[in-house]
Amino acid sequence: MKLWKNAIRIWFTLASLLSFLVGWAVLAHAPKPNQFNSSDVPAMPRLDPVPSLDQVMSSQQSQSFMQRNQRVQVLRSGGS
Amino acid sequence: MQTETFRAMNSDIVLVAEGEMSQVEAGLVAAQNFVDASEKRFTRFSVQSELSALNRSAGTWFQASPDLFQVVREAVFYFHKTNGLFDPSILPSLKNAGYVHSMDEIRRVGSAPQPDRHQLASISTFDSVELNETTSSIRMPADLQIDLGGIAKGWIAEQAAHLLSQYASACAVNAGGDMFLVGYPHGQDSWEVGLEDPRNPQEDISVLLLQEGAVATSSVMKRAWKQGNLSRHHLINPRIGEPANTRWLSVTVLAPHAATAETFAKAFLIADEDETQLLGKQNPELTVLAVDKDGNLVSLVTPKELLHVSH
Repeated sequence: MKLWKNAIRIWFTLASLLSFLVGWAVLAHAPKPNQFNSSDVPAMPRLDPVPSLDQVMSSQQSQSFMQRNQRVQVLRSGGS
Repeated sequence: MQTETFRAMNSDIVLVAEGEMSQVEAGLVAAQNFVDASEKRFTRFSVQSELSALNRSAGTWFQASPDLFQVVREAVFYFHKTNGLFDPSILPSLKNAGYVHSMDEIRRVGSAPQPDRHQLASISTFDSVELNETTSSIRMPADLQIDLGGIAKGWIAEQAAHLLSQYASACAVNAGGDMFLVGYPHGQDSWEVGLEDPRNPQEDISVLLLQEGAVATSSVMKRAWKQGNLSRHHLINPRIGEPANTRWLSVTVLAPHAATAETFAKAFLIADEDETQLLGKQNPELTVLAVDKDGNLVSLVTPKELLHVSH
């Protein structure tokens, strides 16, 4: 029985060692990943600074936005 | 929904119609041509107009076109219905107040002139106008001069709407606040009409959800001008022959016909408290809304059930 246990231990040890060596060999022969080259990266666009809230509220853009969201009645009765 | 906007009768005219595109476009052209032709007929600012010819013929029988005859006949009817508060024969008082040129011209100059000579109010009253139905002829007393401005504009709006409706499934004609609605926009059971704030015309004081028919607003703020140091407007109180001193800035009336809405809007705006009560009792079918000087919207006659007002 003791001999049987020792045989299994040796078997596990050898199997683990062999698997480790096979994995090492596979990775060592695998193709290398592409090297980083800064010239391949497109230039980032330059962004304008974010306007302040006051600037946004007084701009033409904000007015047109308000008009689009405001309900405008086509028909109005205002007197003559 | 297709929209056409143009200028006529010193007012912005808005035509709105829904239906097959080429048909609607033809209808918009026809309606605009009708409005332009009618303006030439009814304006008092052109000596060539039929109305000017009628005024020149005062004292004799005048053979009128069917359109002019119909409007004068309706004017006589509403003179009685409003107990004389709607009175086209206030023309001399209008001229005395400086309304001698078109409103566009007065706005361009910035003020109205003092009259060259004081126009005497006619002794004859408007109900003395004689109408011959058989010959479509009109005879006004020799001292009577009339201005059909408001009632003609309402009548033109209604006729133009009926004309446009022959080309469209639903349409509306707005002639400077006198509006006539035919049918309903697709999928809706009412028309949305903004009620302009007389203190701030850029904003609506309310939105009315209206059924077919007419709506008209009279306002002391719209056709107003300076004559010397005096502030003037075009709504003459026929009792005193001067621009009316009113409790309301504007009055809006809903009615089946534009002439009804237009004449009663004017009458309720001019009326004092007693006259307002009397008009309300005599015409309970009308819906009358008024805006006071603080911007409050009040009902002078009980609104119809189908009227919805959102603030």
